[in-house]
Amino acid sequence: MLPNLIEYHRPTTMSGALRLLARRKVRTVPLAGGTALVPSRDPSVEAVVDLSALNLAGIQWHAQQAHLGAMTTLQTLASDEIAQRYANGLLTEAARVCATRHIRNVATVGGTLVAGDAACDLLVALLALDARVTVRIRRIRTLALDEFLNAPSAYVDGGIITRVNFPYLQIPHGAALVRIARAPSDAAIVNAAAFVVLDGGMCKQVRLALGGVAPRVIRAASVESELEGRAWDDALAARIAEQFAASLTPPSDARASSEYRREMAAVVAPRALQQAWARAQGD
Amino acid sequence: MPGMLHMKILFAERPHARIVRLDTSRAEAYPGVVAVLTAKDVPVNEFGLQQRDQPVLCGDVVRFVGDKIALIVAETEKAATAARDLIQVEFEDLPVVTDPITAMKPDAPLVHPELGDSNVCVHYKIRKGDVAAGFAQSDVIVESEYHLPFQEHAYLQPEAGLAYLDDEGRVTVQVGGQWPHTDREQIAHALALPIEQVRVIYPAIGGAFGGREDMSVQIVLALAAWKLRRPVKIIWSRRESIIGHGKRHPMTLRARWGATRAGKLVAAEMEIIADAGAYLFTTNKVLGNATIVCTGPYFIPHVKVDTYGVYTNNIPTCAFRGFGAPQGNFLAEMQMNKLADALGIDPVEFRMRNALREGDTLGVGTPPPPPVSIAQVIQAAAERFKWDERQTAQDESSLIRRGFGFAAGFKNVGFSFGYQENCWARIELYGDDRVVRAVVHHAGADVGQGAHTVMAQMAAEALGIPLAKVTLIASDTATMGNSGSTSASRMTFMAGNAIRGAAQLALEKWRAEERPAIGEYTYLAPPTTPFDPETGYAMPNFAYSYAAQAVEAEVDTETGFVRLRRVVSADDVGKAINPQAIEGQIEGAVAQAQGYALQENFQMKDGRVLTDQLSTYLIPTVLDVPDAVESVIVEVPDPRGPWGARGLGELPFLPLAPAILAAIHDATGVWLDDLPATPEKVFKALGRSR
Repeated sequence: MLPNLIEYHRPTTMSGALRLLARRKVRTVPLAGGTALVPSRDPSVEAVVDLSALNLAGIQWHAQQAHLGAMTTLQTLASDEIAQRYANGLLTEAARVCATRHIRNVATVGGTLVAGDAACDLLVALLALDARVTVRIRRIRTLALDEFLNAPSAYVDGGIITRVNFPYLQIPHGAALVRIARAPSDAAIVNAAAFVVLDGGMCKQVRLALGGVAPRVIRAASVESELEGRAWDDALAARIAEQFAASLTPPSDARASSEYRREMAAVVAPRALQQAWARAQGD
Repeated sequence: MPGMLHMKILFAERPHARIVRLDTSRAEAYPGVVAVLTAKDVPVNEFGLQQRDQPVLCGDVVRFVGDKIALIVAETEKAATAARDLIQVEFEDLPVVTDPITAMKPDAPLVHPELGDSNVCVHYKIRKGDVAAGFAQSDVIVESEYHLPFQEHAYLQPEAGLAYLDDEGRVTVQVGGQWPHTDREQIAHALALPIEQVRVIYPAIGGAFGGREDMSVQIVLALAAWKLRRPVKIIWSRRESIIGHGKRHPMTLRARWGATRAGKLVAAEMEIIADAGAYLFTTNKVLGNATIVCTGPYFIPHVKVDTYGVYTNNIPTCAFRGFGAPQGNFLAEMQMNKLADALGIDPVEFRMRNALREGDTLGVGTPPPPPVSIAQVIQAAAERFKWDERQTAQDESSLIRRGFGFAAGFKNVGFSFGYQENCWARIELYGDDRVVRAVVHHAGADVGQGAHTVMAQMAAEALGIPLAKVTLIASDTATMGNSGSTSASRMTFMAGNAIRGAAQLALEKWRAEERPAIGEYTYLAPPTTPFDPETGYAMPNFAYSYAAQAVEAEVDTETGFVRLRRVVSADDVGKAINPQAIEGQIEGAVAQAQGYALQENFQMKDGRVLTDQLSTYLIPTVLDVPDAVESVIVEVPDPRGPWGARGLGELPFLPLAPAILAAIHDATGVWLDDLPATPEKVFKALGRSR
């Protein structure tokens, strides 16, 4: 619960919502699903602006782009028929494993971005899909998810995330999510998502993202650039991914030590790449 | 209830400190607060099942984080919570001791200076034969040190209860528990009331596993209701439950076992050091059990055991499914698997060569009462598993290695060491020429295992009437005699004998045309004796049950993750009174033991609990449990058991952890000596071997 909450608003217009969020005298924050905000017990929050009446929910698959409304729940995402097929169902799998059913029914895509959990399966998947985030403050701004995650609260301060979009490719590709957790229902210790686009036997595009290895989920840009434009080589991909993992200094906590996380990054990254590649070939 | 009040408890949240100042004035002034009770309000401020070493409310010193300091009673739970946070306590921290081995040292800070100059609260000795001579005869000696962790009961419902004054003015507590009559005795003692002035009623609950043997909310609820003359209710949060009740004993177990080349055990020397936590609870009895079973269900001519229980500022440790047997048994079965491996003998064959036969003596120098069925359960498990046909060849190219493991176990039924076991029942038969209704009164608690169903079944059987004609009224101290505790796998055995005796008396009166015909009976089990203080010689138990399990597991050698695939559990229940309930007990015990072996990682640091929620302390879910658990119900009747029945509840927990570790060894060549075998621990162990 939020111990010092005194105001609850549910505006029906974007301008109304932004006006409330722009106030400086009353500490006002957006309320999406509330699954992170409510248990935070943040004593500084005095007012919430419920975003549920702003028509921000829903998934659209356009010719080249997919749009996820920021208020789309994780359960809607997990049961979306196109999402279940596209990129080997990467997004639906990520949505399913990153939260239990009760949480998925209320947690939203936008809220997941702001919470920015360091091992969030959905964020890892969205990074691998090269997602971009649209934020509306005074004006509309679109930026790469990777950039947004550097400082989610700063980018969204006084504003609202309206949409997440990513390329909806119609050319051969494959994707995979690999996670290591103490139990299937627990948060990941480390996870990796890979997305590979093929051009003949060549690797046209590679995306690799990892969670649980740094204060936030990360893209492995050096691995991607080393593999792109080359003929696929399982052993090479594994070696490069392992080298990348070895350079990390992950955090330690009750779930796992830093050393175990580093070792496991070197396991999940090659496994994700290899599975994505195998699936791309199967397309 | 009309006029009901709500209670919150101010816990110490400190491992060891002196209370310098306690100011409840702001809490008392808070709107809706009816009373704030502290140590000065408790008539006799002490309790404990084995030893009254714990204050109901601490007024002077707190010894662990879950010690209680004040009770806040208010019109609403919200007001009670808010007022609790207004209580000001000034502490002077005292030195904290959390490692039992450190706590044994002469200069260690004392947890209970009033009880003597040492933290050692229990020391048992077994001296059978001559271990030095035994080791001299041994061709192979295996020496190990094992470390076993805390385990949290994590029952479905956290502690909760309702106290009020009944129509006759008795302070009445409705609560989930395991032994209503000792709850009543402890409440009466602390409130300085005559025993008849206290009433305890148990509803059937979803689980206890030993964690409800010791007091949680019972005394404080009764105190508040008695003082305020109004109903008072409390429900602990999961966090309050986790810091507030006892845990399974962490133990360090050192073992040195010797055997001949022919595969016969000769000598075993053990030292067991257990963390008792801040209060004794039932540590003395738990360690008695660990001491008996640490030789396993095997004949060993020369045995030496030293077992110690040590006070620390950790959460007190208590009864938990197996009551010391899981730890003692773990040691024995690990040693058996290592010796079998060292001797190059199949682990099932090695067990058969050493399995107790009738007349063989345990470490205590006396044989277990016959029939001894360990050989039958070992064979039953091996046959169902098809142990001899298992595929032992590894796919060397695969990262996933498969392994098989075997272990056995045994456990006493009923209370031990000279306690005169007893159990009460009453049966009333109504009708005219035929019995139309039988009312069974029994104080035994149903804690989710189906005890009440089995009691009604046994009454129907004893009376020769259909189950539908039996009504069971259970667990109310106001109208019932003492039926004892639902623990030590004793309830089917003891209640069955009590109900059978009561049925016999009732039927005699029925035939003599008394209406209603009432039979009341207290069953007394055969007597037992305590350890001799120097040699451990004893006849400690009147009955045992035996089990064996075979498992198949897979180890991901890149991550250390262990997946339990298949478990076969053979358990001798003597006579299966309710086979479906037995399978439920076996499957439940396997899941709980899998958690103990692989997953449940209760962490305390400097006396504080790091895993105080079920999100950080993980227990197995449907996604974790094995693909297959096959129950093999073995029936070797116990002549003293009702219809031959033995006890079961704890039994299937015992063999699983050592069987899993044997499977990990079979898969990877690595022995783990610590639980839980988390992926990280397994991964590190594999790294050392590479």
